[in-house]
Amino acid sequence: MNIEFFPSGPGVLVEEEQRILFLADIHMGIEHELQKYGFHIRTRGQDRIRRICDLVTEAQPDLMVILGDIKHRIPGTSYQEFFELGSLFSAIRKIIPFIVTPGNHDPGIEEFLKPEEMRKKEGSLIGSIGILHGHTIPDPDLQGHLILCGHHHPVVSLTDQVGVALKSPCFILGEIDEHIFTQDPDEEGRTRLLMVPSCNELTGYGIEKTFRSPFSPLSRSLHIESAEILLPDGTYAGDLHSHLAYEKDTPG
Amino acid sequence: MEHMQEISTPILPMKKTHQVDTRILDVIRDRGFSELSEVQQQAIPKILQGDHLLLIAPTGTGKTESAMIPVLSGMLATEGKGFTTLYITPLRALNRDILRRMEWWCQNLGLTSGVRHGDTSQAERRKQVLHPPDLLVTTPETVQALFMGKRLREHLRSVRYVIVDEIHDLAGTKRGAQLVIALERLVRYAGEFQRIGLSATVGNPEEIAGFLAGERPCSIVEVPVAKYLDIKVEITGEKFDSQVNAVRRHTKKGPSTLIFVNTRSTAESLGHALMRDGDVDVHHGSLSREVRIEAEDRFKRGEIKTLICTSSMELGIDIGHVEHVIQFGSPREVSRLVQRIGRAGHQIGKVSKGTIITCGFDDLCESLVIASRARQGAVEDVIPSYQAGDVIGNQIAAIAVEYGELSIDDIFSIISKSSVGIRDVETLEAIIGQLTEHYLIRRDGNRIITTSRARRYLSGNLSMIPDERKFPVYDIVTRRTVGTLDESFIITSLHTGAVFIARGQLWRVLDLEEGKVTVEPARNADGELPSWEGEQIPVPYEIAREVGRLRRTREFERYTEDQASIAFATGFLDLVQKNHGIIPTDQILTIEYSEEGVVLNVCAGHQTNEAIGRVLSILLSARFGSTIGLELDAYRILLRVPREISVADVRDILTSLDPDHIRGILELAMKRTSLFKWKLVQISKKFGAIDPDADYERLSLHRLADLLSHPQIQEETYRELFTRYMDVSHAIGIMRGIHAGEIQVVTSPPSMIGGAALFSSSRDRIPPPTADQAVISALKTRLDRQEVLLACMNCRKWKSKTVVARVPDQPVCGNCGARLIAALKPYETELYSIANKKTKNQEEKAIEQKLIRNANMVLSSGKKAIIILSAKGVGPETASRILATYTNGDALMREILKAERNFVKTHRFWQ
Repeated sequence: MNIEFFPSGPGVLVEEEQRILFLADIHMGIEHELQKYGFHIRTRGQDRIRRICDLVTEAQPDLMVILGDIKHRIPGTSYQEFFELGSLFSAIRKIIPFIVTPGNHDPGIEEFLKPEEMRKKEGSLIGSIGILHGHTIPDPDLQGHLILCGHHHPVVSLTDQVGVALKSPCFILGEIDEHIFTQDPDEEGRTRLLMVPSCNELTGYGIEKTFRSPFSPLSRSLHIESAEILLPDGTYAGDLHSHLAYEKDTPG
Repeated sequence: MEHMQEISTPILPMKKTHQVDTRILDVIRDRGFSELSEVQQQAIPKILQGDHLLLIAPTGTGKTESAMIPVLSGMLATEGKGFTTLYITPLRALNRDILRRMEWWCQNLGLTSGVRHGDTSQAERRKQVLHPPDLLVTTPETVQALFMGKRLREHLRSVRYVIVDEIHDLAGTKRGAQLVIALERLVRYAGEFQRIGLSATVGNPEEIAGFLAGERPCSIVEVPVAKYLDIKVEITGEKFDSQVNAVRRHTKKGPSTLIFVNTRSTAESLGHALMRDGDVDVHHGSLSREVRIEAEDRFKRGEIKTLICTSSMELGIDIGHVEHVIQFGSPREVSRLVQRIGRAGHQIGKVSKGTIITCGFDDLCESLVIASRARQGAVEDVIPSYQAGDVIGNQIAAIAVEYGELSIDDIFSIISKSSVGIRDVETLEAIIGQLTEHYLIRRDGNRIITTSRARRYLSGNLSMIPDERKFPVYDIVTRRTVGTLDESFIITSLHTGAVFIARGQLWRVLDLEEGKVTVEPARNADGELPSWEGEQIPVPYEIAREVGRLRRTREFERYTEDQASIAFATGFLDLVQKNHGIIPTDQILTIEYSEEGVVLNVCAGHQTNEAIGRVLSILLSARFGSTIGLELDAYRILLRVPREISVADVRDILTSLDPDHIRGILELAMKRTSLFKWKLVQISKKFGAIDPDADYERLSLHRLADLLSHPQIQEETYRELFTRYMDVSHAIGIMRGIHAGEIQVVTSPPSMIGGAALFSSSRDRIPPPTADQAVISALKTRLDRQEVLLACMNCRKWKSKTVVARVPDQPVCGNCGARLIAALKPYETELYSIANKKTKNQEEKAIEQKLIRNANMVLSSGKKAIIILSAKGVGPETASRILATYTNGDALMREILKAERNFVKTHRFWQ
């Protein structure tokens, strides 16, 4: 298995028999929703579409997997979404075949997709890789595999001696507790998880918060002691457990 | 009316057609008044002539009457429905006394008056629409609202006079800019009305006159303030008790004393301490209106002798006779001191007595300088906000709502006529473009059309005062609200894990949810929130320079006769020198170490130090790739730097800085600072991009600044920062002085001056300029914190677990003294036991060899090897490869990052 990181998405490409590009959490239409919450900005939908298409050109995959939350509004579809989702999918279809694992913001997405482009929301396998959005308990078929998911929009705050030097979307790589699949797992440490950061520039949850109060079955079952933080370009940014442990003595 | 005596002689000779109406003279005579004050004598004829006029005089010299008498006279000569005169004053000066006076005048002359502001009842407002009073007393915000109603707009057509009271308070702010644009909008309804501005003393009267009247000719009547002032400066001890006693010594003497303090908390604690004296009360903005009015009345009636107040009292609220004004702590600005002391006396011709009670060396010197300048009448300039994009945007939206639709040419002609408006159509078009992005207005060819959002936006943005929301802080451990955090912190610094200090305690942020910040107590050090103290007044450049000169010349006797002050000041300077400190002056800039970082002692005032401090932080963060913390006050700049940065490094950057590059560096790098981000958000609100009650939980806050990268918003943010926060010209001047040798840069041992707690500071953090450098900086910290197991490969009987930061440059076995120490990850403890077994199999021997290789690296390369070996996935082979590159510093870090990235690529998790 060969892994390549693409910070411009952000996205990650996994190569086994074929080259598969993974993206997550596009949240088209978010600007329309944000109006309700007091933010009045023009949609950046076209920029997003362009960025994704450029990413495909750069990564040269054979297939693209979008790990869910392609649209934003629930329930229903705003006019902005209607227009932009059409635009997104037609742009992508021109350049690459793709499949979608629907997320919690995706009810209604089937209107825009062909049946062969949709996968089960609880998860399915592609090659040896499990794929799902990440808001559900994973399908038992995924046990023992490397699972890629979105949903968590991980963002890390890197500090140096003086303060926060950088806030960046990040990947979380680790192992999950097998109890998520079955009451009585015969061994631990077989199922691995890679949380993919969000493609949408406006979303993000600090991992410092996510793993203190996990909001999904997957984040709850992640083994923190062995989990690692990776920046969008594949740089190792530390292990999760040290990052969360504040009460260590700080040097100097 | 205490401040007017009987008129015995006729009013000065003037043009026949321009005389005060006899009815007014009758009224005055009936009340038993005599002479006109100096300002009245000068002003009244000019107003009667029809001049626009700026009237500058201290409080209590009869300014209001100077305007009202001739205006009322004119009002008697006019007929018709609608408002004839608008009297505009800030809300906090709008008190019952002004209203009573207006009512009194109007009633006696058969005119009607009314007041309209945010709290005016619906019933009253409706009445004003149906029966518009001849004289309307109102606030700048409400003036904006007047344009929003159809019938109110009709009533504006008859306006002949506009009086802007406390114009010095408005002119330097965006509120003022907004108001003068509104006056141009008014001209379209009423024609050219007469403009009268009432002002306290300012350093630049012509500019303020221009502010009021634009291109129109405007006369100025000014009554100098200096002859009315008697100011003394005293020094007390550091302890609160001695300060209270110093105050008490004065309050016991006089019949009525007003004590000005700089913060509300000081007002409360001083009030509490003096409360036992009985006749004391407190007055500040956080108290309710009733409580404040009660305090004012009691003081006026003589029931209390002492009133402790904040700037809430600065404006012309009439509280009767004040014998003495005490300023507690430096007033920071001459105009502030003059206005406050001007409250004393309060009778025409009487001298105003004031005392500044200071504590500490900086406080004393600053006060001496300010008092001296006050006596010379050297009051600061008030600089209007010219071409402020958000003000103009706000007014365009207001105009759109007012007219429904209007041509761009018409809008341009309104705005460009004001003193603060833009001068070219291109900028107007750009601002219009910005507003359409936020759906505030639509554009159709050459016309601007209002949208459904606009009216709502306007109701929430009648005022240009930036609102700062407060978010409650909730401790999940005790389940209680423990304080509030300002919106500025939420926008710029909030993330889970952020540590801050509140009420002397350290807290760690967990989350923002349901409008509350949840926290838990934290133990780690280093929690400082960025702040730029919006309410704190910056000390002007000239004052700080003069303080510097005073430190150098030590001519304290020229500034005061108070022997205690002179002794304290000279004693302090002697003590600094005795401790080998070098005294920073106007000609000497010292750099020293303090506990917190590197301190530059430079006497240049807040805004200049802000510019210098930021340039240095930016350059340091770029050169060393680390986050830099910045704090400053008028006399010092504190740089929080990582260990690697020394005083010499800072000195180096300072002396090699080309003054001509300062502006460019700031323009390029300001975006990374918290101050910039915060201002950006505030200005975005005025452009309609963000609602006042926007829900910050709905997006990733640290991306908010990126979102708002619109050109007009950015431009206004830069403009405001460069005009109000950073004084680049003087910073350039200081740098030029350094290069020319006029200002020496000297390294000093830690001194009392540099180590003094920062005196009303501004705080910020500047991150490294690129993500790349940030990652390297974070890597260094991560490696420092890495746990490492040191294990002796000589005696095989010693191991020690520690963190990399604590490892010495050449570790030594605690048992046998050897230096053949292996550096292991803590989970590799077992390998040490394996390596030390008496009998080993093939595999176990290999492990031993690996550890010996490891230890040999540590033997030859010391701590550097240990640092490398503590990186993720780096074992002896990789480590020796990295050591063989012979890189150091950032280059070494890059090698380590490469190795770690490689580890990721070959991770076992990929199977």
